[in-house]
Amino acid sequence: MPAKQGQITFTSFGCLLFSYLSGFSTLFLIEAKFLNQDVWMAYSIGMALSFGILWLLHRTQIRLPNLTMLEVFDHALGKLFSRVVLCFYLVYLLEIQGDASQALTSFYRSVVLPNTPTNSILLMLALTTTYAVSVGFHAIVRSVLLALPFFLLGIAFILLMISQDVHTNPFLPPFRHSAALIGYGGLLSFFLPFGKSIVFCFLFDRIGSGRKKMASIFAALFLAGLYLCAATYLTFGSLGMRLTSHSLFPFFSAIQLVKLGEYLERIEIMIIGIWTLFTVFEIIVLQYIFVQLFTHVFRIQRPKWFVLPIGLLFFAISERSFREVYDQDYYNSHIAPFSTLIPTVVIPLLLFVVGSIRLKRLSGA
Amino acid sequence: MLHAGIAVLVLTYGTIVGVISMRRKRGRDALWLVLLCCLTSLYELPHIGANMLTVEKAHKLVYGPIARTVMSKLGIGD
Amino acid sequence: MQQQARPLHRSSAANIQALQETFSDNASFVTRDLSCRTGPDRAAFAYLDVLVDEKLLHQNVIRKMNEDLELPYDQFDLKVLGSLYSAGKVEVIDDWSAVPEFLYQAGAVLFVDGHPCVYGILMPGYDTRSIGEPKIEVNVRGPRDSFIEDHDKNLSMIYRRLKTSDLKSLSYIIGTQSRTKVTLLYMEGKMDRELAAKLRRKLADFQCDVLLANTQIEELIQDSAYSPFPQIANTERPDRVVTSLSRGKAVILTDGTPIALIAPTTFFEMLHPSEDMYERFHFANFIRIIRTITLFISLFGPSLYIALTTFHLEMIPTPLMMAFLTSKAGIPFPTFVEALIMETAFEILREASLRLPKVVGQSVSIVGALIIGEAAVQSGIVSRPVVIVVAMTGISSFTIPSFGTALSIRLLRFPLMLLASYAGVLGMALGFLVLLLHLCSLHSIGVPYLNPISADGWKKTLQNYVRLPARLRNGTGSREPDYDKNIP
Repeated sequence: MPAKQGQITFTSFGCLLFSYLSGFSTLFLIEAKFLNQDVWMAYSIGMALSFGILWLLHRTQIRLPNLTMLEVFDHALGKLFSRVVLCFYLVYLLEIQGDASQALTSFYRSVVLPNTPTNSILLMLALTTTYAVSVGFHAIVRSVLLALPFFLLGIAFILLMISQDVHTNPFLPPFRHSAALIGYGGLLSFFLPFGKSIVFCFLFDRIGSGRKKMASIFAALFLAGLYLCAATYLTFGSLGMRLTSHSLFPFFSAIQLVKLGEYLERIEIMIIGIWTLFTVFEIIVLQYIFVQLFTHVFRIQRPKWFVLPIGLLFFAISERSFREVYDQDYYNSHIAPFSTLIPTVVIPLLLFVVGSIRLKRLSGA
Repeated sequence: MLHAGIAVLVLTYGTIVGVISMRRKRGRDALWLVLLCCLTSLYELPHIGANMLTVEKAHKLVYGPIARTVMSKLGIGD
Repeated sequence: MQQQARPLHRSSAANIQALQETFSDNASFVTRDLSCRTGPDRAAFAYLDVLVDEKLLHQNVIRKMNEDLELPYDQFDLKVLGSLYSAGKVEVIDDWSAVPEFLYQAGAVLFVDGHPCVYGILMPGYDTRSIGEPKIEVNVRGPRDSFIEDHDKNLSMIYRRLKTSDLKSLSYIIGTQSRTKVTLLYMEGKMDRELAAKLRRKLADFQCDVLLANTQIEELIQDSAYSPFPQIANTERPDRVVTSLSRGKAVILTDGTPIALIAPTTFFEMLHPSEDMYERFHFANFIRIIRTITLFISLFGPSLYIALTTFHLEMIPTPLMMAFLTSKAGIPFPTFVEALIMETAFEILREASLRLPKVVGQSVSIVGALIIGEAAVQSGIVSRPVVIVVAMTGISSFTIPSFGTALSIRLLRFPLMLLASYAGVLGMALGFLVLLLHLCSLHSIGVPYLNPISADGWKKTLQNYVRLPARLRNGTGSREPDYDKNIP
């Protein structure tokens, strides 16, 4: 079914979600360092939890299908309380984008550009994402659709090349960790990367075909999980558990081992170039949603004037956060899984419960 | 130098666009724009920005003890 | 020359007098008084001798009229008009302001005493260029005719290829002083009605003094004036115009310009020349792949070289890396400056070659190649790999069919080089992303300029990337040959 004017198809939405999730997912492999061979269970828990939360949000939104999610928040929670609640999402987006920007910067400074100042890289990122937000949602979606085949091709090639070095199944033997640790790993994978998909609820009104919305979300989550699983499997297989646990960027270290015959090696630079696009797409989507939320919360009439200051605010906050890479690693593994529970679990549950009562009353009235 | 430049840029932008918004009877836009630009430029100032509260610092303060408690109860090492 | 709308005099002499005042100090203005037995000023011709075919006018019209002038008074008018109507299409003009305009259209006007109108007949006698081969869009197997400056001849080339009443052509006169004829063509039923209406409105509302070339119209109808990428395609080939019309696009022809505008257009169409239509799909697709590769080389060649040699030496195989380092030894400039010098020199040579007379052009290009290729390397200003990279980049840019797009790529190469010199692959990736976002944000009269999935269905989407075999293209299937299948 073709999308209406101003809307995108469910396929485009799925591709956007996949790109958003796949950018940073393979950078640190935090849960893999905790759980080793049982990490696939953590991924499954993270995917299931994300899909469940998105399903709840979808069920809430379809009660008022002609409204945007922000308007559904207003109707369900009342205008004042919904604005307070949406401020939690604003803080969450600032946290995630700061984390993402600094992660990308620290990666580039560690591996590729040691002499380039951090704030220069952050500023380039901020200006790029600001431009992207200013050109509009449809341009962003079209760019993702154009870049995605290159990403898939590059990643498929890299995974194929790494698989030649893998001779045993690193996911065996299973169930070597306690349920508590697996549960914690699930929480980690829910924080990064799957739980980030919750903010896509604010784009539900952009999808043309409502019935296939959940199918596209499931497909995107599943494929992102599959990619993450494959990357982890091959990283363990080529580097081993110990080296993976001690390496800051384990998947990247595994890519460095790829050789094409005896002639061409260290081709990770080309893959990094394509991979960078997708990490930046994540920050672009975060910034776009931030602008939408900001506009709604503060009742802005002309949001286009706010795009540049918000971009520079993102730059400023990124610059002042996560100054050390090990500090960031500690934050991602210890603090963030708990700090992100409110916007990704508590508020959607609250919205679903309160929305079920109030919106039923409203639609029945 | 970069920080000072960005602070000046964002304040100038906020002032100009704020004035334009006021003239077009969009006072709320002007107000929030100026506040946003002031916040951004505060973060950019050398000594003030480094000591300002960020999301990371706030979450460490609030969730740090919670995280340590939960993880110690679950038996997960630091 | 502002003309006031007013009716004509009944007196031929008064009209001629007024016209002489309008065209005072104009040496080309000629009047021919047709005197007869009844007296002078009975009828008179007026025309501009540099525009009208005087020989034809005398032979076919005036000589015959002179015979009629011997007729009695009451039969004179009818006979004169009969002679005029037999010579060609006659236009009856009853508004004074239209008379000078008709003269400028290479028309001759006949004033007849007692008639409150004037009779005009078009007799163009100026020289126009003959139809020749295309200069820019050259191909091997396709037709060899191209547009010229004459609007009517251009239109005739299209009508000879599209013989259908669905082809609509709307004419506009644009330019208060130039009065340039502009025609909008589209196929009824294929072109989107809203887009057609939008174009009609824009052309109808366009105001200017002088319309010399269709670039002014292009600036009017394009969606983004600040983008370096052209959003309206242009072509000098009638076959390409006909193909575009059959695909539901609109075409604009302007008198005096041998280029037609095609809208809406997409980025993919800018990369696909008409040559693809005349070759087998295997070769056409192979050439498309080559063209895509050369597009990337043209855009990213120098910046990739700069990024690899400055930041990512480990990616280059060791023997090649040693060769690069050896050739770079003793060069005082960083790689970015070397590449910038060479690119600038190449652009200067390219610009100069456009304006050089043909007799010296070849000599200058040889000298330029020698100076830049050999002397610059031997004097230690640039290294050999940079010369090779820049030469490859330059040659690659010539494979892009659309001249406007090739110009944009040439321009954008420089900021990408700067980004690569500052931040290596990260700079290139961010530059590419900004470029991609910009292209995706562009529209060509409301149609997205770069849309990976076409709104017209999967076949159209696929045809953006590959040339399908004839059977799979819309409306080009052929039925089974009629032979007896039982005969082995």
